[in-house]
Amino acid sequence: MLEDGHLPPPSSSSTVPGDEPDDGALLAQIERGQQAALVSLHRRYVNLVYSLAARVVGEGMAAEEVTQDVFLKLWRQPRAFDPARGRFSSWLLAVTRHAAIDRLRQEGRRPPEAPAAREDQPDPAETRLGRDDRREIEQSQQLRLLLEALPAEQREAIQWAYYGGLSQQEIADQLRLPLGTVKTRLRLGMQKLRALWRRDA
Amino acid sequence: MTEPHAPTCAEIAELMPAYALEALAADERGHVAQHVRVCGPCRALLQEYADLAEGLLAAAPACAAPSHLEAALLRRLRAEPTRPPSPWWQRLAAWLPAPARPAAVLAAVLAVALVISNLGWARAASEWRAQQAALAASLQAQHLSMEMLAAGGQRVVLQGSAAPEASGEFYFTPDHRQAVLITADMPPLPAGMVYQLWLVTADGQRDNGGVFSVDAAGHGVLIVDAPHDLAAYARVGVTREPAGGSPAPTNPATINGPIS
Repeated sequence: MLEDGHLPPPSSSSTVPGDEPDDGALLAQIERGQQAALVSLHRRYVNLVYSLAARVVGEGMAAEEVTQDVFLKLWRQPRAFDPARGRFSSWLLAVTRHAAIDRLRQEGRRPPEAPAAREDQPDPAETRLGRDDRREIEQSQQLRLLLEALPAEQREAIQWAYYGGLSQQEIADQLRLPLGTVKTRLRLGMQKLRALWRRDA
Repeated sequence: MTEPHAPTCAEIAELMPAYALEALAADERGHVAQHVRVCGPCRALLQEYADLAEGLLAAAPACAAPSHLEAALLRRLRAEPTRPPSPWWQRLAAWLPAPARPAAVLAAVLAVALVISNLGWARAASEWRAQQAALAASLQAQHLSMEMLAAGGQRVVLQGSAAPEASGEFYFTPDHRQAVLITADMPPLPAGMVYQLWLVTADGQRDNGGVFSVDAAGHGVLIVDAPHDLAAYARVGVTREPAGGSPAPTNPATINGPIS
């Protein structure tokens, strides 16, 4: 006879507080059709995904839908992420950026203006983030401050390109500037950002 | 005629920031990609810009996602077609030695179909032979599994307890004694050990459900012929036991879950 405790009661869970499964384990569970694993990943990354979506398409309904689409894609194709190519959170954000830019293009609208810098930034991530992710995100928030410190025209060139999904030519058309001017602004801005980033690192 | 000018490292370096931000025209993108394939220092510099771009993804001003998003996601999940993303018959196929696959998978699929559609095991062998040819041509495994479940069968997921990543799927009908267990990510077994399924009644009695082993990926399959109809049991669990199985469990459950 099996002693009590060998087969825990139905309410028991494989997730112990403070010992949450890592992203890889959750992805494996998603692959097996376990919705609870997707919900766990959603709790872990929804603020991060939503923040980027909101930066690209503006806060509100469109950003919510982009966020939903990203997590549904994860549900439908959990194998789309290849762990050999980097961290899961980076991949998730790259997927988010493309989904959000696609959305902008479908709607045929211009990227929104950069939101005004806020005094107090809420923490974009939940406490459930792994230590590595948390450190990366803290560094990224530092990067945001460096970006904001760039000369406005250089910062805007970077933002139009990356958060707006525009090519240098499209930025030039949009801003009615010579292509060479846009290229210079974007290059100088990124070179400066890289130098500041290296100095801080 | 002039030869097309091959860009220098300095020219490539000027394109890198826009390359990392995905803002280059296609021809320029091609120049950069081609150059860094053969130039180590430029590849390292490009990696720095790529890291910077990756950092910018998480550098969007932070805003809290609306709290209703989780409920909305769950609603959309419910609207999704039921999807065992890596269906059990594919995992079974991976688990079996290659030469045995087509026939064995067919046999297992058919076995489950028989269990779930309430056919007796005695008829299985003769029907298997009779239906094999026809099934082999028309077997749409996904449709079949949907049909099996639609015929009143149930599928419950067993969670890892001693091994958090391990899991299992248990297919059964309450008013029959036959069932199928498919496992994934079970810890490897030491020599001389097997996994044993236990059928647990509401008052704690454990009946032997059979023994099985797993492959390197922890995949295993067990056709169960229980001593009683499955309705007699409240839970199932799997423990590691000495080869041949034990009269009663001697180890903690690797996976388990309620079936009632």
